[in-house]
Amino acid sequence: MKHILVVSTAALIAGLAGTAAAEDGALKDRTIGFVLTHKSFALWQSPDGKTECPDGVNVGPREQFKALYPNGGKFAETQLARDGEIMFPDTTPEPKLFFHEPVSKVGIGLNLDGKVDDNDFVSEDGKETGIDNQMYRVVGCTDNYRGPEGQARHFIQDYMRKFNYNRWLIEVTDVDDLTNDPDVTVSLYRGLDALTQDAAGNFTSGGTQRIDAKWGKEFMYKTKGKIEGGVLTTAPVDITFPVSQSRGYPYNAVKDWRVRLSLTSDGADGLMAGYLDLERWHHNLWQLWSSHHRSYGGEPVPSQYRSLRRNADAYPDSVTGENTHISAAWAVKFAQAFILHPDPKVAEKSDDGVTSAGKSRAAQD
Amino acid sequence: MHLSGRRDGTLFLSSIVRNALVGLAAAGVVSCSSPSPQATAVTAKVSEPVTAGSPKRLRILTEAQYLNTIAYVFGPDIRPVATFPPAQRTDGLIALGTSRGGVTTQQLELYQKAALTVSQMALDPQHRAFLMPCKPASDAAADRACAAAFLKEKGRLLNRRPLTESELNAFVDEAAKSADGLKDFYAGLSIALEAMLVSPNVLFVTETSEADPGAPGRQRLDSYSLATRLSLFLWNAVPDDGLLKAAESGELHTEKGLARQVDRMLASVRLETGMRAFFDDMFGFDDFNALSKDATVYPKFTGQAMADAREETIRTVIDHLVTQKKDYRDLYTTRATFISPALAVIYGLTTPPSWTRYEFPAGSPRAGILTHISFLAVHSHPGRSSATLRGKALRELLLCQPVPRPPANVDFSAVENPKPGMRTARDRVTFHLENPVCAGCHKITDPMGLALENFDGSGRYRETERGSPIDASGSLDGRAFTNVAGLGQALHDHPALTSCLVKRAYSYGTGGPTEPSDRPLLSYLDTRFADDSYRLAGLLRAIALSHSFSQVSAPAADAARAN
Repeated sequence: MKHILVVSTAALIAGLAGTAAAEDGALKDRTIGFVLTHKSFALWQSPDGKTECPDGVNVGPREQFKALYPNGGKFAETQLARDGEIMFPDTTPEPKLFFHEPVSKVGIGLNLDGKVDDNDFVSEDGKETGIDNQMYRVVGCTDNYRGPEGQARHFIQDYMRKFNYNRWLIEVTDVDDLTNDPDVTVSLYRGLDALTQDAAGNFTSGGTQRIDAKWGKEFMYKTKGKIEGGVLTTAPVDITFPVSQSRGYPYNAVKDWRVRLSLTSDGADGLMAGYLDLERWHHNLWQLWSSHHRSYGGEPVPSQYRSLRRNADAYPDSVTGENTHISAAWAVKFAQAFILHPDPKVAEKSDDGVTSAGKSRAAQD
Repeated sequence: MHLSGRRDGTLFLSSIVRNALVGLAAAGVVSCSSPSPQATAVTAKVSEPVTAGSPKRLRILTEAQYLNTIAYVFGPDIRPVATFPPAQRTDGLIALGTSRGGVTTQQLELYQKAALTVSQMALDPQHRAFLMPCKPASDAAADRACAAAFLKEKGRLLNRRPLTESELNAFVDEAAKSADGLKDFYAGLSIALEAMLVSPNVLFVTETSEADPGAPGRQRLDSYSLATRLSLFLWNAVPDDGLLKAAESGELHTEKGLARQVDRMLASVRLETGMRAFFDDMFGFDDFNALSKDATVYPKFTGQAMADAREETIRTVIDHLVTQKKDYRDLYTTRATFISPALAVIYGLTTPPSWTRYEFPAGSPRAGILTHISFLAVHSHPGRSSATLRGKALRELLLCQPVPRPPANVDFSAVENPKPGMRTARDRVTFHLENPVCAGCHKITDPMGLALENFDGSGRYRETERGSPIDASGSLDGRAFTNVAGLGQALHDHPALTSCLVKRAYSYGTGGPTEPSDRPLLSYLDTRFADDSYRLAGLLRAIALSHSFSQVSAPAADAARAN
């Protein structure tokens, strides 16, 4: 908070002087941008894991296969059959298998529906109730997603550093004050550039990100928000966002998406949440995570699918009445970044519009 | 087979090097022979004063000059890994140190490794197709005529003069012997080329003189020496074919012919390469090679930012002085620059992923190259800024005013372990001015350096230090200012700013430090520079066409210089 106040004062001085401090300020032209540097499912974990997962964590496909077929069998009746169940899962019972879901009432996330239901979670300090994060029940006892070294967490971060196609930007405009502003606009984009790293290799603020105006149109969204006490919250909006390691759909779809982020001039830190399209998420999962990843991370996909369907809590199908979406929350971190918009006039004229427009915009800056 | 041939080649070149080095050592670093100076007439508004001329020098090619030469002679893709030891900075320029010192055996090994790479690449199947002026009768045997054609053509460029018949024969003999021994024409030729590349005639620039028919009793550089001096001055490389032809024909020793060649050189794209080298040297940017910053204090000062900071300033200088031909003094007030993504992170700017022309807005504290990250970061400590280092650099590099070294027993505790009340650099260095032992020097550095305190040790802008507002007021030789923009303007108007560039450019061109006896000439060049609105091309032209540039001083004059 102290830091935020200092920034605010500096910005005020800059505004009055119109000179010096403006140069190094992150908030320019009532706009501040951020680029995603960390994303993982928001899971509450006790120190030893026994509180939320008293029966331990889940096992992977190898253990399940051994439980199903202890004496082996014909290929088509064992291995091929199991592969089919992975690719075309259903919700029938699995008497020989188990799947652990967190039993804790404590959870991390946001109250998406404004209600306090029996299956909702409570924050660790007890101050927040009605937290909707049923995805916690699906992945909370699976090593792939648990911190600090779950396989999925590792690869999401690794790909964040290595590749650009999962670059995700949030731009906050109409900002009068980074600490308190009742009416700001929040825009989402896919970025094109590598994350900026400091001398020690850590992600840092101050880099520039060009908007992917050519192939990233499906990731452009706009919503309203407000800043209170340095915390940005946004109005719900249906979005898709780019994800790493996806060979099927290179994105996830979330309804009623919103954020709660603590803002500084260097970055943003907090939660994003919404209702995740469970079929799309699951499709990405079984397409991408080969058996060895599922094995190392103890992720039994067919059982997990049943958990997904069992815990889905929103957007019922008009025909079957079954919920198609599941409440979820992600812990996210962003680094401040300057977002470079393409010049529409240039972009219209050239396939290379993004770069040309970027130069044009930079010259204007 | 290959090894035996290589051994032969190595022995051959070693003997050349040894013999030549003995000869050069006997000649001494600087040799002169010329009668007394004589007045000369020029057509400018002011007349060039009578001078003793400049000494003949023996210089060794720098790494950059060597690489530029190889690129120009054989093509830019032939670029050996050449990490030659730098010369010792002398009178403000590394270039002046190339006429001092010797060559160690380890250094010779580096030259030979580079030569081996160049000779093998130049004659590999890909490159020989266009570098060879002929095709040998057989690829598996010697062909003296074809070898001679290649060695004569490349030897003229590398030696900066035509090879004598005996020199050419020696190389052709070696090529033929090795080709027959290796049963490979190109391998044999490669050994001869390698030998040539490490010969002292290639690695060293030995200036020679002749009687000046236009000034009886005077000596002048012979035409090839003049061509090389001009080329190293303006292009940081050896002469091209056109300049050598002008030397061969005698054109260089005519007033119009020399002017024609100098104008051609000033219009050449190679001028940018030459001026990059000069300003990199003048600004002391070799300090970047040893620069390090504490990553915990300045996490955004990455290795890429360091490299780009050096490039930013050089790009700005070239654009301002060479491309746009603007007033040299305006470099210290201009808001135009170029930024890269790594620099933009420190500047706090938006930029596309490439070098971009940028102009800091009016009212920005960034104005002039003094406010570039390069100058600010190089002249700071690893973890903090330094008003003293910045002031010292400003004096020495830009105003040619040497600042004495601190005494050996200086107490740094006040700046390294400041008292709690000393929150800003101004607080910490104030004691310098209160202590008579320190004040003598610090009063000529700190008042200007403190004007740059709005920039931390990585060049990032700041308004406070440890919570206290920074007072960036100061003075430069009696001119007071309140901020860094004032410092830039004071520097812009300081007469030593332009005279320092004149001094540096003249000494860089002639290869040695200036002396008190050069003052009338430097004053003349100052006037010419001012008359031409302080444009670099005009200064370079005035120097290159001056009689002092091409006339060599007499031994007596050199003795006077030495005294």
